[in-house]
Amino acid sequence: MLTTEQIASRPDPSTAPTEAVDGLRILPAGDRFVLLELGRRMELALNLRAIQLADRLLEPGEPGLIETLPMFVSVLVHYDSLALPPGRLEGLVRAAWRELTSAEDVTLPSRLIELPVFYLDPWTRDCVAEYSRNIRPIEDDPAYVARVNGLAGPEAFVRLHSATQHWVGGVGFYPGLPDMLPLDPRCQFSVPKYNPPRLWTTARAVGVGGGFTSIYPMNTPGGYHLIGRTPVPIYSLDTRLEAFRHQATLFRPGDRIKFRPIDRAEYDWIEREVDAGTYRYLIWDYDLFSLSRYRAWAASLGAPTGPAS
Amino acid sequence: MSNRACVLQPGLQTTVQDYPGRVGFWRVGIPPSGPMDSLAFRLANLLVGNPPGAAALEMQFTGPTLRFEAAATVALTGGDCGATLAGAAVPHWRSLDVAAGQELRCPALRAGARAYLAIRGGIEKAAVLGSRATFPRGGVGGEALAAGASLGWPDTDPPRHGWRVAPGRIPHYAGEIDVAITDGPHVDWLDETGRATFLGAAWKVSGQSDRTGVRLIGPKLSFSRQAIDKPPEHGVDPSNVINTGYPIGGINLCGDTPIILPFDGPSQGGFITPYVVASAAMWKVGQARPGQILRFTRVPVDAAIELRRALEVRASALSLQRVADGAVE
Repeated sequence: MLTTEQIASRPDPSTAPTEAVDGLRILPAGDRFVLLELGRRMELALNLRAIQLADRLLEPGEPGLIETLPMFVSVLVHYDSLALPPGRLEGLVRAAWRELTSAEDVTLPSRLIELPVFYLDPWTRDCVAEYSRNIRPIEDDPAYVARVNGLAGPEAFVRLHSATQHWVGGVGFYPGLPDMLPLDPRCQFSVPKYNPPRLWTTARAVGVGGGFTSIYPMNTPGGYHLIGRTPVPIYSLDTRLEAFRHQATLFRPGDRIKFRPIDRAEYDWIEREVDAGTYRYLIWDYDLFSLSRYRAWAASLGAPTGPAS
Repeated sequence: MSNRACVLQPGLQTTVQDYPGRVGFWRVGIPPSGPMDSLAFRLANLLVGNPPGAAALEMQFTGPTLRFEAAATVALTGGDCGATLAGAAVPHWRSLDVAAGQELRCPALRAGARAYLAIRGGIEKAAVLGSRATFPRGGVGGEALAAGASLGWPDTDPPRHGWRVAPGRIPHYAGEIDVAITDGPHVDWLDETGRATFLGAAWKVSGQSDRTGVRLIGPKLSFSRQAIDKPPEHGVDPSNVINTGYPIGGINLCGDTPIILPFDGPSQGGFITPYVVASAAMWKVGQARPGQILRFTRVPVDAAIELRRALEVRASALSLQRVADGAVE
């Protein structure tokens, strides 16, 4: 049974130093999968490479190559070994990797998505209060998150959290769940996860754990601290909504998310639009993300670049 | 009159599945679902003349009671659930004719964890993301059957009578289960002792097992240097790794507990995968009951591919014979 330990163990990248991109390891993962490990340090460069490699492998429409799943520093490849022998797959992977790593910069198409969030909302406050009553007494999550990050209070954390774009490094675990890192080095934070995890979480809650932000696509157990709630689904089978006409999940690895703080009145208004099937997500799909330009910009801030660099 | 069966009792968790399920959404965390035992599932469909992957029922430990409002040809496979039709015992692994008005009861599995019921024509259900499989945990493709639900199936040509699975091809689910595995991406995160312990142990299936994970109870494993002395972003526990995609059938090590991740499992996470169940052995995992013992045999990837080739033959019409004919094996 999938349990709460799975959530509690999600790693904490906040102390990660950086290192150069190193070699590709093709690791066995049964007779239908291989895992491509691009490195063992958490770094944005490796995540960009993982997303590129995952996409590139699908491009030729190779028979027997079923799907690829990029995560922070790895790509899982799902293939039909009766149609595509492992030796041939390895050759395809090596060729794609050589081609990608020969480019000087790492660039990737990256959508910008604006997501309305009711920070410090009443529903996630209730969820935290219930945990505090039934599991273990804790202070309210936004107050705790602000305190451990040396901020004046919840409102200061909301300003920090909504001032940066968040990079979607991977999607999954639960359908459509994004793992996001803040791109602006001035907006990084770090917070321990729940111990023990919550047994349930408000659907569409925005949570922070380690240096990550995530959104709960549905009511599930959870280990992140809850700071707000979005009125819009990130996973839906309602094809009336334009964003879900062709896929059931909103986010893709390589997306950038900007959270827009909203109040209760706007939350209710957007929720009605979602219920009516008329809500239009704000998605801009014309940017190329450049690692070298990002690094130059981050360096120009004069602050330590931290884990996201 | 429409082809309809009423669900009088739903059973513990009875779901509509198809095979191979909802493939192609692993990247965004939507699992394939589909039958936990694809061998018994495909044979049930073939017995009634359906394509092997057609929508059929999976029942777990306790099956449903159905009242057929129209005549149908059906087949039960998988664990023996002590089924009765209009009060009389009926066999598994062969096609059965059901008359309108008859009740089919599937009270409790005596061996194995799951049984399958195929209806000629295939169960009617709207496809979600290209599949009729049910992922109850994520609400994709609906939920498990509830009392009062009804099942429909299309009109078909007259049924083919009297097919059965050749007796030598019927799997046995009782006793210790030998499961072929291959190395996983993190096999070297266990030390030599840890690997020997894993491969030598009798692993007991935990009662906390379901379609999202089969938990195993057994000895504590020991780790190699790279599990202990690793960059901090991997997490604190030796079994933690930077979040990575999980292969289906992966044996995930969650602290000290191995969890086999089947067809409704999580797509990614922060635990190591030292071994992966051969795809041809997943049906055995799907039939493992709480308390039953699993033993693992490590095979090379090439051998696992050959096992799969052999399973494809076993899960085909080549395993069927007419009831009147003699046994093939």
